[in-house]
Amino acid sequence: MKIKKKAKVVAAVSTASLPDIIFMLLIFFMVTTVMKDFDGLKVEEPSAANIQKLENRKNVIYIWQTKDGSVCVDDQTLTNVDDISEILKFKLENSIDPGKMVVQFKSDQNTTMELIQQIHTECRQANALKLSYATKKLGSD
Amino acid sequence: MITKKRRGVDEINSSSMADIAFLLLIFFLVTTTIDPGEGLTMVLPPYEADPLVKDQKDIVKILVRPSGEVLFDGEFISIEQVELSAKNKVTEFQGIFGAVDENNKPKQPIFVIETAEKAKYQIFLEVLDGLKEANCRKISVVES
Repeated sequence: MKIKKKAKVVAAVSTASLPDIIFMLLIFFMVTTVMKDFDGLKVEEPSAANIQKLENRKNVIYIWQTKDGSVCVDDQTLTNVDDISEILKFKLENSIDPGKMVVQFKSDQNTTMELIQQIHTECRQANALKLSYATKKLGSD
Repeated sequence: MITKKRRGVDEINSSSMADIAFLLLIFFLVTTTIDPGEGLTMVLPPYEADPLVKDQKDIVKILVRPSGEVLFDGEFISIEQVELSAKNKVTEFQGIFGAVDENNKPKQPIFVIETAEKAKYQIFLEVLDGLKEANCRKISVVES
């Protein structure tokens, strides 16, 4: 007569709730992650037809200019336009690939060229030569 | 006597669900990109460069006056005419200096946009857009 073997009970930690834990983590990080959300100054962008997309947000320095003359670099509000070249130099030195850095002008369409020219000069002094003028796509509104 | 068989509770093996969730998490982390924006691109001349060194013949000056009027190489034109005037200039330029340069690229004059301090940014961009529309590659700006 054969002796029936007892079925061995495999000791296992119940993993059924692991996905729930992971999903909780996912949702937690989604909710708590705050993007660097500086909306910049209030500008009304001009429109143009021949616009190009920028490649990578990491390689972009934003400069806001409003029509009343206030200037903002990334999230710093400036009182003196002459400081821009120093800030740009600092940002270029600390970037991974300075050759790919693009300065984007987010200017109001009614800004005078006086301010734009000053910032052009500042960019040239900091050797940040690649520019992009933020515009709306022509005919989008 | 009839003995009841013990019924095993049917269960789907869910141990790999965690891995799937992790994969989804990592997939979205990697693929999510934030739109960096778009705009008209332009390359400024280096600070040391002296614009006067350039041969005057290959420079086309575009002057934007405070009132918004545009002087294209000495002639008053409207914003809409920038593209056509630029195309004509390129054709004219290629007629004199030859169609292609040593790198087999079409020869083009340098378009220099000079703006008055009181001119509006919008007009400047419209001129720039017109030049881009005419496929001009060499565009520069001058601080007046």
